Amino acid sequence: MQLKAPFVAPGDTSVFHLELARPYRVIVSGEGARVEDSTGKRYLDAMSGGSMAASLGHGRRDLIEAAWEQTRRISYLDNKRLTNPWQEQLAAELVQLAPPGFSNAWFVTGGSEANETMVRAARAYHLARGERQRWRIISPAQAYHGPTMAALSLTGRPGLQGAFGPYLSRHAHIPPSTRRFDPTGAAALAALDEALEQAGPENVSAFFCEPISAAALPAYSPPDRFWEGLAERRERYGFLVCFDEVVTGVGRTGDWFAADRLPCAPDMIALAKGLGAGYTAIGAVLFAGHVYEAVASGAAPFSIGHTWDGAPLPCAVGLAVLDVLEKEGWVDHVAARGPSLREELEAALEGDDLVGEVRGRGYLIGVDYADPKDGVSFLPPELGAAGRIERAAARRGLLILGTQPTRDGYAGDQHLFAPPFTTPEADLAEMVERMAAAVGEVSAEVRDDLRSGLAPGFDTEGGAGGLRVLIVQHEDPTPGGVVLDWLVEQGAQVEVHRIDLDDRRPDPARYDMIVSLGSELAAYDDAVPWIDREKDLLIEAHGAGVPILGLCFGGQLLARVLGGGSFRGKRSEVGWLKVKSRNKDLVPEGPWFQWHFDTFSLPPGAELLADSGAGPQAFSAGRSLGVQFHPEVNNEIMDGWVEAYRHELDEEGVDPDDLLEETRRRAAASRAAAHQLLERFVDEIAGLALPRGNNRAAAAGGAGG
Amino acid sequence: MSTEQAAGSVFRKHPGHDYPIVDRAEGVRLYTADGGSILDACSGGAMAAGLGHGVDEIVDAAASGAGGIGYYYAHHFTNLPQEQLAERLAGLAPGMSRVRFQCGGSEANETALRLARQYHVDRGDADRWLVISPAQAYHGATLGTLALSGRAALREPYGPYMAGHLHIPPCTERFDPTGKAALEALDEALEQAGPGKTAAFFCETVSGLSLPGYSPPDRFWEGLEERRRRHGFLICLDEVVVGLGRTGRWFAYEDLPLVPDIVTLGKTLGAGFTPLSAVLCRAPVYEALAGGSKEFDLGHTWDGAPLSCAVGSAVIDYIDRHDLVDRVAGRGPALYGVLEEAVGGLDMVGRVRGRGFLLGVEHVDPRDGRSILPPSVASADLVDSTALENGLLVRSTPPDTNRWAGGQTLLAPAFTSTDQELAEMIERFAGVMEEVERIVKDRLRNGATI
Repeated sequence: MQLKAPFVAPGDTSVFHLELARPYRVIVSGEGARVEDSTGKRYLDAMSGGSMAASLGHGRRDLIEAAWEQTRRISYLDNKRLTNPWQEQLAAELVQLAPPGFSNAWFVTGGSEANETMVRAARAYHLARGERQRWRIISPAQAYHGPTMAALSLTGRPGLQGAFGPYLSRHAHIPPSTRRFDPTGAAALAALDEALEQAGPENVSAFFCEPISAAALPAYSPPDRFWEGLAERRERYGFLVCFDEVVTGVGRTGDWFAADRLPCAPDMIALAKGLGAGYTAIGAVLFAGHVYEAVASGAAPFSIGHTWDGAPLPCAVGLAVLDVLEKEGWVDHVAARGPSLREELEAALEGDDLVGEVRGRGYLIGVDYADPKDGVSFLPPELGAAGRIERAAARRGLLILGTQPTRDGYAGDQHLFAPPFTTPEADLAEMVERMAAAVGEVSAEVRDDLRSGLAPGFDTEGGAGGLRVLIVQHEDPTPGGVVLDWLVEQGAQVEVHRIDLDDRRPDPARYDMIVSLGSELAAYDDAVPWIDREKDLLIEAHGAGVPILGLCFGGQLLARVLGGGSFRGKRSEVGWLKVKSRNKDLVPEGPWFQWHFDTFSLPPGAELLADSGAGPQAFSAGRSLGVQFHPEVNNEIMDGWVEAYRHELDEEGVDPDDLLEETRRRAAASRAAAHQLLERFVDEIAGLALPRGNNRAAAAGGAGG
Repeated sequence: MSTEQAAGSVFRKHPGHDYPIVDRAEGVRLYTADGGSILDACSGGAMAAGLGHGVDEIVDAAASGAGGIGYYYAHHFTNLPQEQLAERLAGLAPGMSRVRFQCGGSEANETALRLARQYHVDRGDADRWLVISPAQAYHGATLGTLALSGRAALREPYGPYMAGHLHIPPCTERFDPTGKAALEALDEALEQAGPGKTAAFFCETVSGLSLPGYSPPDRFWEGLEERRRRHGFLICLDEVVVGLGRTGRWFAYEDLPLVPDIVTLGKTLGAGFTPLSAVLCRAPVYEALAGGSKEFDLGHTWDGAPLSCAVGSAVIDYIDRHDLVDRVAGRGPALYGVLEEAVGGLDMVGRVRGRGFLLGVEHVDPRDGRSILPPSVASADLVDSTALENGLLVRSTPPDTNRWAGGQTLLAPAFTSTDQELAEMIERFAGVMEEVERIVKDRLRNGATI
């Protein structure tokens, strides 16, 4: 597969992606806490590989080498009847690191498998002890333990469980004891008692939870009172306590295990992400001695497993990861640096009334958003604040992960901020800065949305208020002219973004259309300070299905970001010149005003609509249109250009006075041609409806309404 | 031979046994820490290492294919190795259009189950959730996949967590050679589920561990296809074991008179070089979600990671370049013939089955050459232990309490095994079975009970 476009479009892939209508950018390289996509855009990875697995950063040669070396020696062996030195050693080291009393490790491939194994092991424990009736599990509602059925049934989030209810066991769930609902933990303990009562305590197999939450409630952990109460009830009723440390285990919170600091020791611990650190898929369940003894007694069958359990490759890489963590002291580093990192993020976000709380444990930091009206209520879910902040951050080259409000009302919009342990100081500072900028930007929009009482709505229908159009202007002398005037006449809400002066990164999904104007600079010149921002904007807009109209420079840049070329032309065109059109209704032949030295080649899949001796003049790609000429030009613009760029006219041998005269003579015809082009573009290519009564093109085409 | 006993920190699957420590391998030979060797007749023990161990050609190709980044979760980005491998698989698998990657067979089958359910919900058919599947099967160790098996002994401890799916008996030679009874059972199950309640029929195209080398007769498949049309459920085929060449076809379903809606792959896709599995589906399944919920976003950490997918592509290239599917198809029947000749005459061997390089030997009561052995004889465990003592790795399954099948031993050599290695495997295995038969007869004489 040859990659041409800046992203993989939904119809252009064989992958069954997570979101079916979304184009995906393509990641191509990574080093430390920095990654790069196929367009050359660079990001700081404040999500450790997107999932918090890559805790040692990307591209570590020592870990990559460890994996390939092991693969050459022996990578795979089933562990049912054979063992291997790496499995043995990794188990021994983990047991050494684990809380006191832990004796054995059972290896799997990932977090879901680890959590499923704990559910089965808890059940086998009770069966071995003759308590056949114990099977029910109590767990916090606001949690995530994996997408397999047993793991999914451990959360109480109906939004996540979705259509899979018929396959899920009916366990009991308790509300989180967060600042919002239950700061002391008293309510959660009462809910636990109620759940025990309801199930009958003699029927309960386990209490199952993340000791410190990850995606579901970043960095949240119940107060000590809750843990003490839990330990007391375990003692009284005989259920087991299972800790899902898939995210927190192996250093993320500044301890080897989050369990190390809690007043309630678990009976089993599940590990995954950080154990392989993004260099191998591995998970493990660690067993306290008394649980191991019962389960391993053989009284209840417990021998089924997965293909890769304890195989040499994942275990060897796991050993190399532990070795790096120990020798380079990363767990201590996270413990020491985590609190100040949280403070720095909190300080950067201070004063933003969208930010409710910044929680943190080591390098697991969470930002919790709230309605500015009281600083506590959840934001209306239809605002999609977390998703918008995530996109705004990505635009600024920062990768974070947002979680959306759930229907059960235990958590609202939140973000995870979980960089690799190895992130250099300068990158951490930059991450904090970009995060604050992204939050600030969306926060302003959200306040507007809340004030106006309008949900932002990402509909592209235009609606009664007309089209929302973002015009990207590159410098003073190249304004929107005829195009801007026409849009205003159509009742569009036009926002002009001076990308050379304003380094905000607008969210293209908030607009119905983007217009990129001409520029004195070259579309192939990556030294232009704002060019990366505009490339990103166009890529994101095109990916989100937002139509783009590119004029001259804008057309060349559009061609470029969609995989075409943009370069110095063999010859220039300056003056009022005709084009050869393949669709005269859409692109009249002109003459159009031309002033360009550069040209472009068509992106893959684009349709050539017009050309001239100097190269392509117009093309469409998806819902977007790029032209080489200047439909926006009017008398004022021309006056400005003649003044600003007179030297170029002299070099081209064009008489400025003749040009000004010709422009005035052709003004009316040119405006009419521009209107035709715009109407046809909006209707046929962009597929947008203009407000009724204004839409001459649609009415003429019989497509009104 | 060096063995690790109870002292270690690993929670072993059979804590009572000695565990040989293997620390190196080459091709189909495993070497233990103390210099002993074991002939690997089971592709690493679980049928994954289908191309043998330590193949530098694959390692080198994978290392360069992974490019500049080995891991990033599928939420923020896609990556080229994933796109390339998906395109490759969709091209290889008749009728399939989309691919979702995971790490293992359980994850793949769980995903297939969720996909089948979401398909119906997105089409407004939210009552469809039940799955019908053959009882004598295995689809994974997660509770969602365990519920797809009807093997009582495996399910029993976890009964309270099992969704109430329905199961039909196998149409083996022992019970139902024509497939007629299985079809009747299928009709009965459909009726019991009630109209508009069945989401999918879920089965292995050719069985792996549960009934090595077994596949229902054509009549069953034709009847299944007819009922799919009539009742509107999906057909999900678990090809975790058999997919990508094990039966002498890229996909075992190529031999069936039907095209499945969803197919899962595992083992050979990573070939023991990386944990990798996949769910493939036909376009209408994808389209239902694309026009419905527009997302299918519960994933696992490693789904579609560049490193795993680069290895997957290197594996397929290797199979392709060395014509290994043809090799298995060409060599399989003769291998079966030799195995049948070597052990078929033993009193404790019932049926011998073979599809490509997936071979199964059924253990029976030597007293009548037919009955299922009493579980207390523990023939499966005996075969595996005796084999290891004789430097041979095979894999056996005990009879289930539901008695749909007796003990079974599976041989699944790497596709790259030489003729000489294959001959050696069979010869050693025959010796093992002779020794086991003697012990079994002793045990029966000494009062093992049914």
